[in-house]
Amino acid sequence: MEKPKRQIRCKCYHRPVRSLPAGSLRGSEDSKSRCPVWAASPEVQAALLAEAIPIPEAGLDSHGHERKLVNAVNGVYFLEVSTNEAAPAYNCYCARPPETLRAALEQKAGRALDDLTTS
Amino acid sequence: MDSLGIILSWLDPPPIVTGPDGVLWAELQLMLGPECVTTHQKRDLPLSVGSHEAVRGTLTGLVDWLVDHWVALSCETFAPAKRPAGWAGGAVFPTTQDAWEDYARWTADPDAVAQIATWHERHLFGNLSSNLALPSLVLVPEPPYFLIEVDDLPLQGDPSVEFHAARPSAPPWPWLASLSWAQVTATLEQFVSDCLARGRDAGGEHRWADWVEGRFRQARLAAADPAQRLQGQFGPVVSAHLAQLPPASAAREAAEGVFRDTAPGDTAATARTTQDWIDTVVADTSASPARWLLPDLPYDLAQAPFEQGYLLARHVRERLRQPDRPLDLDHLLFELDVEPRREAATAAIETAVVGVPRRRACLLSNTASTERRLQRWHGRRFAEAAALGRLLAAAGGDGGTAVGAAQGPHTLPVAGRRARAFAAELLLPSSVARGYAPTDDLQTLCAEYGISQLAAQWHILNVAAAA
Repeated sequence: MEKPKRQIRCKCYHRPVRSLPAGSLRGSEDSKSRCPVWAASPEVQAALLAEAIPIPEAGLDSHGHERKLVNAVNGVYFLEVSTNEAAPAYNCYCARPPETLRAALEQKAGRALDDLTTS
Repeated sequence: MDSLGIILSWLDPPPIVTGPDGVLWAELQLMLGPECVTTHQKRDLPLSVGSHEAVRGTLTGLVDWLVDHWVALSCETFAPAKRPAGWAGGAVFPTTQDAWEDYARWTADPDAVAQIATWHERHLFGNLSSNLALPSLVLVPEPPYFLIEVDDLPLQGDPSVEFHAARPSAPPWPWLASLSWAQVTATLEQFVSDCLARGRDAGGEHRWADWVEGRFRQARLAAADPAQRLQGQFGPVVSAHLAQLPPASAAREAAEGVFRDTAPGDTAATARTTQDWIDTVVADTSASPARWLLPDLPYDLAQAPFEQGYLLARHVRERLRQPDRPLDLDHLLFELDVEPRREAATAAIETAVVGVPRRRACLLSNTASTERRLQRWHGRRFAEAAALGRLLAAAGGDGGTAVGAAQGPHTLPVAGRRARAFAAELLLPSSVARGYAPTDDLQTLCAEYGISQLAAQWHILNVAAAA
């Protein structure tokens, strides 16, 4: 059986509100994000999630999906954390990569955005 | 000791937020003693406009972070690297600002950066898990204290909110609050329990609650496991070294005290060299009245560390019947049955002390230390006085066990502050410092009392502020 497709739960206050290369904390008073503007693209998000690497030591969430995933592109590293829903869905943060996966992620981080979305 | 307060108010979530995130949508207020550290406002507005005490959002991330890092929060007492020099008024632990700057103030070594970042993940409240806006809150245990260091968010992140101390009389940030370890631990446990109950009772999120509860049970068991606690306190190398020593032996007790204050990244060879010195002290069988063992400590742990240090120093001077005269440190050590050893030791140690009941204690002053302040007579004298403070505080009121401590850049923060205050007050009593007028000759005063001008200036300021 095919695995259900992962979704991203990009919160409204994580979405870009202005063109800052490194993103910014959002104006929606109590929330924050360092997401780059280009990460709002649905194609980029889908591609990042589809080929993300699970962090083995993080284990599984309450529904048996991988609890934490990591990926990287365009010099930015992303950590995706399960929201514990029945269908696999993930919050996403810009984060330093775990040391155990650093080598694999450095290669991914060196890709341009086009390499990700057209692969 | 101040306590941690977590005030929750459950809210209806925005329609787009579902699952556990929605059920745990709330307003959260954090209190460190009387200070509300979640007080904030929209950035660039005057302080009097639109200030809020609570932050709003889902709490699932905080719960997750607490459960993931419970073992570290229970027993990982050490800082991730040697504290930067010239750090007066700065933060004791890395802050969110440091994370933005890739810990440049802490190290230039990329491997060390990764190590500090990993430590930060375990100790920066809600790091990479919480969508709540929070000030920089670093949580580190130092039983019987739980330290929480608060700082503002870095401007580089362009934060939309600005956290600030709520009361005019609040301590300036970065602020290291020393709270009760037992109370903070119980409050954090209660916070997790409240969130799990909310998930079950209000939202039907039984599956999520059961899953978190199972992980939390495992984490608490791990935190109570002696082997895991040892590793959490000392890191893998030193914990392996300590595990080879006989439990409840004097060598083990003294070594645990010394290694708690030295680098967690010690190599096995460094640990062995330090242990060799401890072993020589422990092996000394000559009996002694051990007057370094004070039957009662003259302070209460609820008092600020600097007050504890001042009271301890005054107590020692009263015993010597020298309330305010310049002090001969070697004579004081002799009177307290402490043998000073000024010799070359490993770089992990600046000064260290070991005391075994009914024996002379030993104070090691590392003559090979490359620290500049220890190259000067005043600096070394201050360091040795601080080390004596560590010995007296560690041994006070006990007497049944051996004690050890080291004073240097890796020293536990509260114990270190107490010891430095002890040293300042021992060398330059408050009664003298209070009588100093800005027109007086500081150089002569310092020469007479054997204290550096810098240390004397700080002490005079602190004594005036504490009055």
